[in-house]
Amino acid sequence: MSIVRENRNVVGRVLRASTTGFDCGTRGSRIDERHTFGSFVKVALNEDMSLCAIGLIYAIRIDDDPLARELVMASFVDNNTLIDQRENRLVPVEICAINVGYISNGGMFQSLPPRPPMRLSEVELMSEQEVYVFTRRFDYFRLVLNAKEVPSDDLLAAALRYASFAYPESERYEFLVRSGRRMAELLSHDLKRLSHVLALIKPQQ
Amino acid sequence: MSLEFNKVVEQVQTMGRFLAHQANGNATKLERALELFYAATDLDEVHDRIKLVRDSSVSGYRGAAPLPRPYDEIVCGVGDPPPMPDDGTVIAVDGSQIYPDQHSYAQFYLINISTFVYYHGATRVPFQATAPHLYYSDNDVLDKDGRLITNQTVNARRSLMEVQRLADMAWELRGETRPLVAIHDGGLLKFFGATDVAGAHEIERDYMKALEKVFHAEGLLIGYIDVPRSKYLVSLLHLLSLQPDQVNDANLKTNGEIEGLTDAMLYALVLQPGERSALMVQNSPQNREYKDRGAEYEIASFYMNVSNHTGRPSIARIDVPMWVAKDKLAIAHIHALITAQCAIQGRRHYPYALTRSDELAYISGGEKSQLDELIRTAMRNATLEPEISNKLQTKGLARSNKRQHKIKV
Repeated sequence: MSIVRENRNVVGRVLRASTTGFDCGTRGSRIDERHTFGSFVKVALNEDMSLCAIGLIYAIRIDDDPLARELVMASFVDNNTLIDQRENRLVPVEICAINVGYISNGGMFQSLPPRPPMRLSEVELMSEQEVYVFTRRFDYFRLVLNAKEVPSDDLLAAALRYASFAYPESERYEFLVRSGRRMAELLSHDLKRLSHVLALIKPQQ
Repeated sequence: MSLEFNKVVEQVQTMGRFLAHQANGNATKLERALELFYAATDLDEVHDRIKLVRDSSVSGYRGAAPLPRPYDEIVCGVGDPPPMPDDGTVIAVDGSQIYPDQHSYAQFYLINISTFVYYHGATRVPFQATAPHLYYSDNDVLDKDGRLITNQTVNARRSLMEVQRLADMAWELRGETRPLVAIHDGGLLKFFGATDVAGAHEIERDYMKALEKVFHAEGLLIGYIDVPRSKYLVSLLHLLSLQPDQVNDANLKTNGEIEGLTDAMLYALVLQPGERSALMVQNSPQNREYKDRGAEYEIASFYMNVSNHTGRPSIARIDVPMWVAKDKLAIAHIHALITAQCAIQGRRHYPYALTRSDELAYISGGEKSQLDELIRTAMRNATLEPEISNKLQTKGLARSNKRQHKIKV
């Protein structure tokens, strides 16, 4: 079994999971543009990666500890202390994702995956091509909008902005307009909410 | 049966009253001690009095003494916080242990030594490392009479390993930015009691070798004592308060009218944030032994108020070998670097490097359980049956998963 695979955008490793989502962890020093609110990630559900859950990052948490709390109280934090805290101390970062689909034998489906990933499975960013293919349909909107304990409006808007960069510039405007129309159908009963989300994804002309 | 708090509460309250009474009594003693402290301005007089106890038949004096001339400092003198050196390297080493257990499935102990290096003045990632050492052979775990070694022996071996690691690091980093301060968590004047510590003589010999190695690496070795309970200065003030004909073992058994005070209590009133006290040596047979091995190895000490604001003072004792004590610039560098280290953690005035090395060395209960499991697995792989004593098994049964009745609200 291949445990380490190179040249992939690994976000972290699964800590806990269910069919509705998963949390993964990584070290504080490794947090970067891969850990972005609203980005699309995938995690293998089997060894050959023919079955993967697709998730949306909806929360990133950095835990504190008593020493960090004391350092915050200091009038001045020395640069080397900062580096030490970030590089040497194993500051845990937890990234939470909700499932919005899955990949099965090359096909992409916008519904909950058949089972959760195993603990310590690698979570990686989806490639631009994968995001492009996955977001051509909007069935996953309902999963996001109905998700509990998730900032669903902001998450969906962030996901759409993120996904729009997977599209060629000539298709980007149309993608966002189509997304807005689908959202209008789903949120027609709640105009305040709809106008908020539409404002968030309004394309720059 | 658990601790019955209804039976202990009254004892706790009595203890509280006792401590309050003790504190009230100390206030009067502190006034007297301050008088004696500020009167101790004449170093010649102090030297004469120390000479009297050293040369006479008096043997019970364990108080402070000034450094030999010309390195001596006025007893009531106070050193201002010096400027920070442009650069500096601080090495801290700490250790923790799992003690051997007579009732365990195997007789072993473990010492985990951590190292942390902090570079002042340059933006560099601090260095950190840990080195666990597992001991299990008869030579390691049994004393010369075939009995399991005591916890004091493990402590002594751990202390030795800490100082040896400091010495190795000081030697390894001798090309690094100066000053190179090597911090040991605890006093430098060690007493490895031969009755409690197996191989005390060898430990002492190796300890001195480690000190020599730091000396040759030109490292500034210090022992950092947080909340010191030593009474070196108080004993000196008591000695100075006696008339020459009163200086005898009977009068030196206690500190007379200022008995019960510690040096830290006194310096808490004297030292402003960042200030240090005068450097002095402890007059003791142990320190004499250190000096006999080489004048550079006698241990001196000074106190610092490591707080950086005018609130409650934090008094720490800093032990230094004589080769450091004689170097005024080295003392100034130590003073500045310790002040800087103690300022890093905001309200907690303790060297950051020591906090981190302690964190690295610490063995949690969970880690101990994992190690137990690893050893048991290794034993099973070697077709041995790991069996703990009936005593330990029954203790485990009775102590585990105990529930208390709780009232639901």
